[in-house]
Amino acid sequence: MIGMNSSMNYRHNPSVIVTDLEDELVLLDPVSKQMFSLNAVGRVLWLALPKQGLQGSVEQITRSFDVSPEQAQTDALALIESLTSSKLLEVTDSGTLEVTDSGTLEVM
Amino acid sequence: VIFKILGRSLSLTGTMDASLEAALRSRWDFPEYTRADHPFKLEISCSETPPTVFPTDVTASVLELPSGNLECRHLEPIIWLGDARSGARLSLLGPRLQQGTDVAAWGLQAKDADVLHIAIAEGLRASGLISLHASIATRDGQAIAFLGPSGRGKTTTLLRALAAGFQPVCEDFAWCDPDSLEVFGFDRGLRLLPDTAKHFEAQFGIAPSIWQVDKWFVPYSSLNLQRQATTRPLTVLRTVALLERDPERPTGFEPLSKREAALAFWEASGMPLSRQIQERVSKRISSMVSRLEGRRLRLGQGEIPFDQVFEG
Repeated sequence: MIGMNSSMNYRHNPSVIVTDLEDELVLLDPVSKQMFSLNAVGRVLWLALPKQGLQGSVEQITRSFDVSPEQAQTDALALIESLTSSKLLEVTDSGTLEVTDSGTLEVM
Repeated sequence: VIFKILGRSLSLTGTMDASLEAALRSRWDFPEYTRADHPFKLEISCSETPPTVFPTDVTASVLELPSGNLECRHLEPIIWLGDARSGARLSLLGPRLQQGTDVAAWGLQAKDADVLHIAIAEGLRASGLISLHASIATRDGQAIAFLGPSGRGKTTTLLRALAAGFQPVCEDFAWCDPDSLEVFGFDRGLRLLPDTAKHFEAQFGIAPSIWQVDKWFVPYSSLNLQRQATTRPLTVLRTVALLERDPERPTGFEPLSKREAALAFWEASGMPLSRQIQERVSKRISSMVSRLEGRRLRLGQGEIPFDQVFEG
């Protein structure tokens, strides 16, 4: 189970350099020199997350791509986990959103 | 003004160590590139001490260079390189840093040439150019850049391109105008590891005779490739080829995704010091990737199909 926050704010690490290729993104950490690339779905999540939060981003992904809400949630949470652990994405907390064993999001 | 770099004037005030100035000219003075004047100005002033109090209270990052580590302190649009004994203060001028770069240098000797090289490179990036660590070959005004990390085969691939009738743009380093996609080689010859030099001699019938540090140096002018000595032809980058070694498979070109091309460009261009310039280089790379043909060149069995370089 991954602990997430339903009303949290997400923000991009301000030092990350973003190269937007319009249908995908390249993220570059100038400190570690590590580079990451996001596909089209990941690009939508990256761009939407700071303004729309997790739920809004998942809804946008569902509208934009042929993917079920459940799958979009699962993929979004996995990517957020990866981005935050890589310090590309930063979170602020309040209220906890949990992914249940069935893969759905619930406020705890 | 002591010389121009792709139309951008470089001026010098104060007294610079003669060996350092020679290193500066060797690295940056390419009069064969006759470009229209550009309003960007690089001004270097030399003195014995820093121009103002050295900011020891600012946390330094460390640039790892072949010549040793170099401390870097950011107070944008001011960047300090080095320490209180020797270094340079870069002042990036203009609302978008595109007016010019002042470089106030102090205590620099020939061994500190990298400090000036980094400062000048940052200024050229601020002026709108993008640097490329790559080998680049040209034919009929169209260029292909071979990209990849050290040891991937950039020099060897360039030699194979020359043998196939291409002209050299550079073996190691170039500047590119991201608007016109023109590329300008900023080296003066091939630098060959001993094993590569043997293959080169067998292929071209020229025995390298200049040993520099750890490689043989072969001036382009000695290659007899009809490369013009006094002016270099206009060359526009059309293709970038990311090199990959796979000895089990046939040599050949494959498509390269925009994402892979962008990653390869970032690897090749190096990281600007200034945050603002980083963002601008990012936009330039995005623009270039959308206009260039990206290929993966798998180096395996057989010859490189150079007749397919500009196909697609």
